[in-house]
Amino acid sequence: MQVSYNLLKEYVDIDISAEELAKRLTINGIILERMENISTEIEKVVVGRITAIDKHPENKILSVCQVDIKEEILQIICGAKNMKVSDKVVVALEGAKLPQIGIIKSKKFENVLSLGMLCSASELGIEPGESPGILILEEDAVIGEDIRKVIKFEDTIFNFEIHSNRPDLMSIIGIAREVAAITDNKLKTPEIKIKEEDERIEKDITVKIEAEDLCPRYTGRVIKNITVEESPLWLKWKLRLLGARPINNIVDITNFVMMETGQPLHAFDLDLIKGKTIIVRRSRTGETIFTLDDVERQLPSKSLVIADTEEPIALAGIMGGKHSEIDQNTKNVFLESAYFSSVNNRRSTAKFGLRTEASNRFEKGIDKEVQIYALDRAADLINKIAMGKISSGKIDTNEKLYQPCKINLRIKRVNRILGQLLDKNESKIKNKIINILDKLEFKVVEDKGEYIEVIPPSFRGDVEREIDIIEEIARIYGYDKIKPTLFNHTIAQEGKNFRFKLIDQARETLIGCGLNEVITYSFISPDIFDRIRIPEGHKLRNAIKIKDPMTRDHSLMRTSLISSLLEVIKWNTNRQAELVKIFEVGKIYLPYPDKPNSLPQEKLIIAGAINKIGRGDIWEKSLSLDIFDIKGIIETVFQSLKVENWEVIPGNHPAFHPLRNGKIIMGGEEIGIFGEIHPEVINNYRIPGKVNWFEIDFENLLPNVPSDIKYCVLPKYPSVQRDLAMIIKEEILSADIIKTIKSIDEKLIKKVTLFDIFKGKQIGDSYKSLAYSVVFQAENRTLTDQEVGNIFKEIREQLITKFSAKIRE
Amino acid sequence: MLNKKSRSKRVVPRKRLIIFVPLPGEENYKPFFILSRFINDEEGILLENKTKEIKKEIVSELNRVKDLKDIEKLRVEYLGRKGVVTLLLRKLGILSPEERPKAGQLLNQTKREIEDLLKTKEVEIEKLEKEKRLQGEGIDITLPGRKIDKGAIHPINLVLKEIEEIFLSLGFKIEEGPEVELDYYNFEALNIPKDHPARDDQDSFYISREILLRTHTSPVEIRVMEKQLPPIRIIATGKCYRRDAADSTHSPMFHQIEGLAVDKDITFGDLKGVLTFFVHKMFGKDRKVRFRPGYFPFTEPSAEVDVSCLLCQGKGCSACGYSGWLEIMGAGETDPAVFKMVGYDPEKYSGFAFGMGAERIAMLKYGINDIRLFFENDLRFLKQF
Repeated sequence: MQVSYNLLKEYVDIDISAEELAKRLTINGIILERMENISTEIEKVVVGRITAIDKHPENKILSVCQVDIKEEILQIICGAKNMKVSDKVVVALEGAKLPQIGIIKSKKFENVLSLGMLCSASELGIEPGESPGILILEEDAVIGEDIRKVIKFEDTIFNFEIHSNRPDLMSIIGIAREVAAITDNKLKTPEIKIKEEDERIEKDITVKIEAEDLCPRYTGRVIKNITVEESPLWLKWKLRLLGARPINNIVDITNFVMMETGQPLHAFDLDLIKGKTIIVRRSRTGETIFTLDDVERQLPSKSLVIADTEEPIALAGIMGGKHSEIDQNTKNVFLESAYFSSVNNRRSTAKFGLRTEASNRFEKGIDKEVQIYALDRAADLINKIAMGKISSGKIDTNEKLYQPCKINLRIKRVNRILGQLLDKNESKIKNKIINILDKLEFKVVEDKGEYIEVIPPSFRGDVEREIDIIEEIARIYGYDKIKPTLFNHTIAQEGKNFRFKLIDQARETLIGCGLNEVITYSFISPDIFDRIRIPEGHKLRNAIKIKDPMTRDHSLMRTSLISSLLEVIKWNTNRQAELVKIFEVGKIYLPYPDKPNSLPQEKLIIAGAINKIGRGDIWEKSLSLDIFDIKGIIETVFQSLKVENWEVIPGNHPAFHPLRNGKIIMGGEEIGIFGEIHPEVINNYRIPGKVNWFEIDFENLLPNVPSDIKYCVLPKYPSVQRDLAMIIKEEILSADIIKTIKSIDEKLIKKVTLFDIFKGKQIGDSYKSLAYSVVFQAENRTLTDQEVGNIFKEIREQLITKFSAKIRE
Repeated sequence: MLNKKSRSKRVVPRKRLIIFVPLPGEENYKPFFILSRFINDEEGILLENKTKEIKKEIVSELNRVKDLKDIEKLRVEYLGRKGVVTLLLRKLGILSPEERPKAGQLLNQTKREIEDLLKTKEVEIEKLEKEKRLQGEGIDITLPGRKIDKGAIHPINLVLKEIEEIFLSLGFKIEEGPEVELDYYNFEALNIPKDHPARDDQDSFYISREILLRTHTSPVEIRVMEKQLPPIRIIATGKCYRRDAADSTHSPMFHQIEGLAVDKDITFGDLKGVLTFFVHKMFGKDRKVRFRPGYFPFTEPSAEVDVSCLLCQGKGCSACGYSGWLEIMGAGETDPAVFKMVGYDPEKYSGFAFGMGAERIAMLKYGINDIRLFFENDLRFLKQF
């Protein structure tokens, strides 16, 4: 809501500066969004009166005007056409300063001297853009008077953010009322004196309400014999301060009264209402309307319209129709001031995608009692400004729309909710409360001792309950005066549960492994599935679709983090990053295929990726990050979470190199995958080098993480280590060899470690040489050479029979 | 040493070859000569003089010694199996039993002295050699260290963690809720029915008529209250979504921190106290906190919480719109209508709730001016945290 300091002063006495006022209002809940000091540097601009107009002898477009500025009569050349002799105009004298134009100098226009300039509204900064003609002042303007006395150019414009529960503040009077309450001053509302003619309104118009639920009150007046023309300067200036553009006097009056009172008004050309009947009804299928913004709109059925006997002539509470628009030819108007239900307006606004000053107010809910006041205020102004004659009588379909509600306010409850804010003494509290409510125009109808009966004013439709009144009290009393306290007592509970602790632990470990945490959007593009080689019909393609996405890139909820992290790698390699090690702890969203209307499964995934393209420093240059770096990271995470008993089997994820990816299995369930991203995928993302990847399904991992640490007694007897080297077929997995070795004596074989792997011509093409160290240890004795020798022999025999291993001696 | 066999062989020459000559003035001491042919000279020499000579000789030899090998050579030359001293010792058998101990003592002492000399020199040389070796082991200590390059936590999570810690210290518990949420929890139960104007402020991503991406973390409040009775003190953090095109101050995805406390005696004063405590912990004790009326459908009275501008210290700058204040969160006393939705008696219970944006807090705290940086994940940005 835009309003100015001087404008507010017309409605309430303000004894503080504009800055102070803005501060006080902000603290009381009317937030200042923008504040602008306007002070137009206009000098030597006065009121003049045209005494004669002649054609320019050499240029037909120009007129030569004689202008009386009290001290003298000046000859001024003017290009405008809208003035006539005896018009009061605004004259920029020789040496005058105009904000848009600069300094005015006497000048010859094709041999005729011009001693100044006749100003338009835009040249004075009153109107945005370019005015069609020069500004014609009202007849009572004083010749020779400095324009700065006519218009108060020095002002402060406020832009307030109004909470959606306070539509009453979307008006000058609303804000002035709040200012009055805060500063303890009295609100001054304009007095209205309606001068009705003998002619009755019924002669010209009948109103039928066919949709009372959406239009519970409709009021109107008829004003005849109006002159449609430009608005007077004072009105133009007020509209300028309110941020509205002047159109013509009738439209300007309805706009101004809307901003003054909060009640949207609409003026119809009475003579264009067919059948002299206004029908407020729901639209019918197939109906259209040509609205004021020059758009022909298809009306969805059942949206509220104002119609005549033939067709819709306005979208109720949103915008008028072109057909009955007020223009220069309008002689008689029907002025509408209605209460449309907020629900209707919200729905219609959404349907049309059209939001106007009027609809904005209706949809938040306007004052139920202001209709007649606004109607009469506008009629009065039309009578004064546009010389209209007000027919006697008015339409009002429901005088009793506003039903005051009585609310009981318990004095004790105020302190119970707010804390000890007012006084210990209850009668003192009560007086304070009554005083605050009085300022806000809430009526205290009865004092029942422990509680008081309160009736909120009609414009405060948001106040319906005791708690709403308590908020008002707190607001005006001042939140700053409420004493801060910390809870009366403590409660004991586990702050962070096991799940959150584990997430922290995993995150810390990954950071320790040198990975940087990233956060990416949960949205993905449907195109990523092709990019990461997910075949049609694959379960990962079954993603949650956003109904009305902003872009294709953000139209699905992700089912995998792969594309998210690859995008991050691409972003960084595009920016010369040589080493990218990242991870994310984020969710994927998996719909339940059999339950389309239920919420999806949200799984927390810990995923990481590493990519190295640069040489790095002296130590790093020999490191090439590969699948075992990524596997090592997983192992470190598992180690830090004390997770054991997991194994790796070859995987088949389509986004990975077919022979370089694995699944992590724990308790028969897949809890993660890792591997080298498929070169084709890497190519699709234009990433240089290789990317190695891991992801852990945190939800599947969680039940496998031990919640306690159990100490194991340290071994008392020494261990024995034996090394074992063998040549074996290449496809045999090391894990299988280790498993076999351990199975020989699970009690005594404590550890089997692969310490060397070798491939080369010497041992044959499809063979490899593996070397393990095996550690033997007993808990109750020192092992003898013979014992170890026997087991070792058994190991060798098993390896030979099972894998045809050639044991190297 | 000498065995009986060899001693008996040498019985004959002993008598023939040894001449005893007493030295003047040394009554109790009987020096003796050993005939020169046993050694290297025609003339016999006095044993004592001989030992002195040997010692003198070795001292001068030691001066010429260059390394441990030279010392070893000397050791062999003097004390080895065929060394000078050893040979003399071997000859002792030819002395009479009375003379033998004296001569033996003298020679053994000489041997020890030589050993000491050798040892001392050896230690000296070893020390020198060690020093020499270290001198050859110089390195460039300005070469880079072989560090384990630690990663960094994302600034949003850093801020969330810090905020969590503060509320954990006040006895709050961490909860969570789904990001894909029912309209009921996101709006309806929070006193935002369909057609409520507040829905405009939070333009949402809908999945279906009843399912959407949550626009705030407030639905967690409802889920927690449905699950348990007061007392409640929880915070919930997580991702939220609104239909905002990404620019320097908007993002379609962002993070919120939600808080809720419900009990029999919670007041607006508690709200002020807890949130003031939070601001002081998060931004410093000297920050001013301001509570002013706000509007949220699920709280009443509602408040906007401002902190004195971190950049200009409240004097007014472009960051705070020249007001000296930065808005950091919304809060309020839980609306009785919300309590009714979860079946709490509003006459019995009261509570407060608050919510803030993690991105905004992080931007204020670290002086970040573009929200998109959080989701671009540029390593040069991430590594700063």
